[in-house]
Amino acid sequence: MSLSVDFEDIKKKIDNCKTLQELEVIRLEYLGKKGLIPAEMKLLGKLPIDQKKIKGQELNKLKTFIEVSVNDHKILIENAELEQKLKNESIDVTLPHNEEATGKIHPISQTIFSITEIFGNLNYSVEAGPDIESDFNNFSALNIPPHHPAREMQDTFYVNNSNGEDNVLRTHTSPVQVRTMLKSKPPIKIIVPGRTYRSDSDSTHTPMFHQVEGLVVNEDATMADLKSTLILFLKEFFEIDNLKYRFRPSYFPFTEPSAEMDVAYTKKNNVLKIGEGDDWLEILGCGMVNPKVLENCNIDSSVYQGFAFGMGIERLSMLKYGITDMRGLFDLNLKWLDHYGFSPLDLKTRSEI
Amino acid sequence: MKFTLGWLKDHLDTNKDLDTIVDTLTNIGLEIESVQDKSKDFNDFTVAEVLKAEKHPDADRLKVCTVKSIDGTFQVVCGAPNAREGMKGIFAPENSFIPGTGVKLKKSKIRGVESCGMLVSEREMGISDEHDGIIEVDSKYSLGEKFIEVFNLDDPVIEINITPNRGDCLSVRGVARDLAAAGLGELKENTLIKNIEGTFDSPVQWEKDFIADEEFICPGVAGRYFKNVTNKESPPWLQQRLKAIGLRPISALVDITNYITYDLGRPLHVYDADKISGNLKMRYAKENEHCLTLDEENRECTTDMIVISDDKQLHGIGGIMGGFDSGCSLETKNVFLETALFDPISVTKTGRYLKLQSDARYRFERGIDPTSIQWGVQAATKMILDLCGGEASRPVQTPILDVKKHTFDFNTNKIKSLGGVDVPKDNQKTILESLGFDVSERDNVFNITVPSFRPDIEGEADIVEEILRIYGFNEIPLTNVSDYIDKKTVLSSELKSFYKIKRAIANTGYVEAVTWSFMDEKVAKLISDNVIKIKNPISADLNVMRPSNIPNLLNAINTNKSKMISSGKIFEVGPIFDETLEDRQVNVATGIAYGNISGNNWNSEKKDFDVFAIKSDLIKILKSLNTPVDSLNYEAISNKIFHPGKSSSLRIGKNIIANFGELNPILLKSLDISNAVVVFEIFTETLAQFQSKKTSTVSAFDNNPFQAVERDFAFLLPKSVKAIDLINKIKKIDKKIINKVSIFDVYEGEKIDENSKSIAIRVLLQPLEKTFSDEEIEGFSNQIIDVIITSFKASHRK
Repeated sequence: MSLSVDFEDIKKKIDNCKTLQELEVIRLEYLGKKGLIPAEMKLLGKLPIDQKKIKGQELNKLKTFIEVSVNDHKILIENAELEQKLKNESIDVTLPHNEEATGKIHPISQTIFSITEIFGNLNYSVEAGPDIESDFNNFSALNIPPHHPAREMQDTFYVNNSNGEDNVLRTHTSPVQVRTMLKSKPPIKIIVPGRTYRSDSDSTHTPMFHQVEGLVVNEDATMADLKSTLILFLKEFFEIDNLKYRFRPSYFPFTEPSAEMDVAYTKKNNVLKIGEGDDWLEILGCGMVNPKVLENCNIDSSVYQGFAFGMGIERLSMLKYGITDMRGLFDLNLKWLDHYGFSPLDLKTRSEI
Repeated sequence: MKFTLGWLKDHLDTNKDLDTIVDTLTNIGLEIESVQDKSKDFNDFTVAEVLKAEKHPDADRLKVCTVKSIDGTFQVVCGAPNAREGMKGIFAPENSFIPGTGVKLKKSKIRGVESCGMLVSEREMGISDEHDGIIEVDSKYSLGEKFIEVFNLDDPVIEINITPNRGDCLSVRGVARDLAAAGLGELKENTLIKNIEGTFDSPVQWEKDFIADEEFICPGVAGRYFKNVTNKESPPWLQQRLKAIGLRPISALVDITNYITYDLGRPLHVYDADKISGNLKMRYAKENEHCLTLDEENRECTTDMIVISDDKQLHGIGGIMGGFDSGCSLETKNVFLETALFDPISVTKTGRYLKLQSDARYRFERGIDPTSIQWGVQAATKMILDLCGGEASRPVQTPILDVKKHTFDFNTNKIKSLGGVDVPKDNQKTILESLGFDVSERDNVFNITVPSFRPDIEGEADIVEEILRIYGFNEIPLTNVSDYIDKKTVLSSELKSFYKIKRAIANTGYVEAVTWSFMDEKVAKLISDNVIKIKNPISADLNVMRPSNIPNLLNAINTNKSKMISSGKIFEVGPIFDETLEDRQVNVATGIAYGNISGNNWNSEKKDFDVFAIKSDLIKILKSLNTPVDSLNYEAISNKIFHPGKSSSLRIGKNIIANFGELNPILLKSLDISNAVVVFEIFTETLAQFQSKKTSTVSAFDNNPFQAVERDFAFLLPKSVKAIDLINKIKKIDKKIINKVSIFDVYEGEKIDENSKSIAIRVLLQPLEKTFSDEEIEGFSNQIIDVIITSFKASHRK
């Protein structure tokens, strides 16, 4: 006997099924206990051996074919049913989501991070010191004696000390230079960002502000190194390749020679562009460490020399980020802080990752 | 320091233009503050004649004038009472910009009469407040002559910033000397200093009275007597120069002292000799002495002030200001002159104490050429005799303290080793000599004698600056400062935690603020008994150093209310101050959270920030700084900031790492805040110990393949039992196997005893070597139940 079934016919019957029930009927028809294939299988035993083998193979082939076809079609029917169901499940995804608070880094911090990254790559390390300082660290050690006219350049806040002496709120970050030189030996290569205080309050001065100080002491640092360091820093900080600058003589009691640095700028439609133009903006003070300061800090000025520089962090922030009102930096206006603040993931590394 | 270009050229023979001079000044360290060149602003205004002036037909006070200017004849309606036929005035044509009013002139009709152009007043020209009439000019001026030439305003005014070390450049001559050194021309001979012998002995003598050790307070004073002088208005050239630099001309005698102060940097004083009784003496003031100074203030003197007295009264405060009673007036006939030297520190102290600034003080403080005691007398003599006539006595002076010449050796290689630039030796010498230094050369060493007018020069570093600033800072070459060798740690662990925590906190949704280190003592006292006071606060409500960041941050709540922002998360990382702290300060990261957690959204939980919200943020922040949060111990807070029952400190070892909780409502009430606020404070330095961890040394991952098991328990416990104690007790049974203990329900209420609470706990058990059998799990469960029941007087709820 030969099998009176056609693969094509069966396939057609399976594919024509619309529901899982119809499909099950067909499956049972062929593969069920009383189905065609088990029935044929039972008959095999009565056949001669050579036919049994051939017939058996044919039956197995057919069985596998039906199983696969039924399964394939079953998935099709299921997916079609699911699709039908999904059509009725639509929601309004335009409804607003719950807002998680977004944190921000203050522009002053972001500026300090940038400065730290740039000088860190030049192998400077960061130092810090207290805000309440001795007169010695803030003035005398830095070659500013009590009645020096330079003390009138900075109006100082005074606080009482427990032993009756006057202490000051540091008027610059320079006392950390003194602290560092007193506690460590050259070579010294540091920057010092931090809070500073002067008794001054108007639209461009706040009684508290931030400075960053730099100090390099070794046997051979020169003014050329100082100038080069600052130019490199400013180019990196403002992210410009061409920096038009002016490096001009000035005076600070703690440096000799002393210099100030101006950068050129243009102002168009109230937007400042740093680095080019015909107007000048004073950006920092610097110089070679006055030998008297080295001696005051127990460093032999016949062997060691160095340079120092200092700049205002608010000013750098405002120039870089286009902030026009300095007082905004210290207000607690949440909209302002959110507007000018930075994402905590806005890393100031070279790769920005 | 202000001067005009013409004035500068009295001392400097130069053919350089204004721009070159201005640029050079900045480049050599005399930074330009401003340059006023009025020639452009006033170009349109010229001398014109009033041909006719008739009454306006419809206005009594107005006149209709016919004005002839170089450009034609114009009809001008004018209200000035002095407008009249035949006068010459200054005409502003149509479309010119009037500097005093800031208005562009347009043709107009005034009461029906056309007016074209304008005859201007001094105020309209911006040269004075005079507005009673229009400017009248002498008939010798012809039509079309420029206003600025008639009024001598064509001389540009230059203002420079003089740094405190450059007292010598508080004089036009000093500025000229620097410019000459910089190659802009030749320093001219000083024509004011001529030796004039005098014809009689001065009836008044100078005396001084200081003990030998304090001679330096007033190293000397000189002067002379002038008889039969005629004091009057100064000549126009002198008045114009003084006006140009902002000084008010008074009379020739007074103007001469001001002029020499600015021209040569030599302050002087002239006394009306007829108001002086006996000799004049420099001495310390006595107790309760008063001096009526020129500004008509009666000043109380202290015994460390230098005063000038005669037999009867004080006539001035040394180095600061002369006395009113012997001041020179137009009636003055006989004059006595003072050129003195004072100790800069003494003058500074006195000036600060009296809060009195003057041109004299400003110069004495910065150091004056000691040789000017004598040449100052000569310069004044020449000008007084030239302008006021009369006769000069022979000079008089007290003994004058010898000033030693300051000399030292300078190694010419220092320019290269400190400045980083090669300047040829000859160049170095030329620069120094042109600045007034005496230089004798031997090999690579200059023996340098510092000029008497440069007390700021102390040693080699100063000489490097002198040479370089003239040679040009721009000539300093650039070097390679990249340094990739010998990598160092950029941030110490303390600073790393101080800075890194900002990112961690911001990443938890907080906005960073920066607030004053100061605050109001009234609020600070609620927080600490050891507040540090500022002696001279900027304002009464910022008068102490903050003992906490919290009150400053709390200001945000009411500040932002008006913008309809009623919730927020804000933080600051910075110092707080207290007498009891080491260095009297410590760094704290403080965060506050208030209002609704997730805004008023349609499907959000309508819930305010509470203790557990802030605790969750805090632990997340601590974790991101590698803090082992499982080792935190809870400790009650005993300060006035926190709610006593809803707060805790967190301790690791002996350090308090952080505080968190709800703020004390009493504190909030005093700050006028009505809603609850939750807070964390992290002491950043205590986290330093966790910062040195290297990312490359992570321990191996334990990929345990055995099936973990969860078991739930519920206990009835006394209310006083702390959850953390329950958790720790269970973990202690077997730290390896008990992986996690969580609390999934807490109940207090009607269904149970009022002193009890029910806590439901889920424990995760992780087998180590093989899958647990039922018996083993049963064993752990029983152990847990036993431990809790016996340790906490609990009962197990089945």
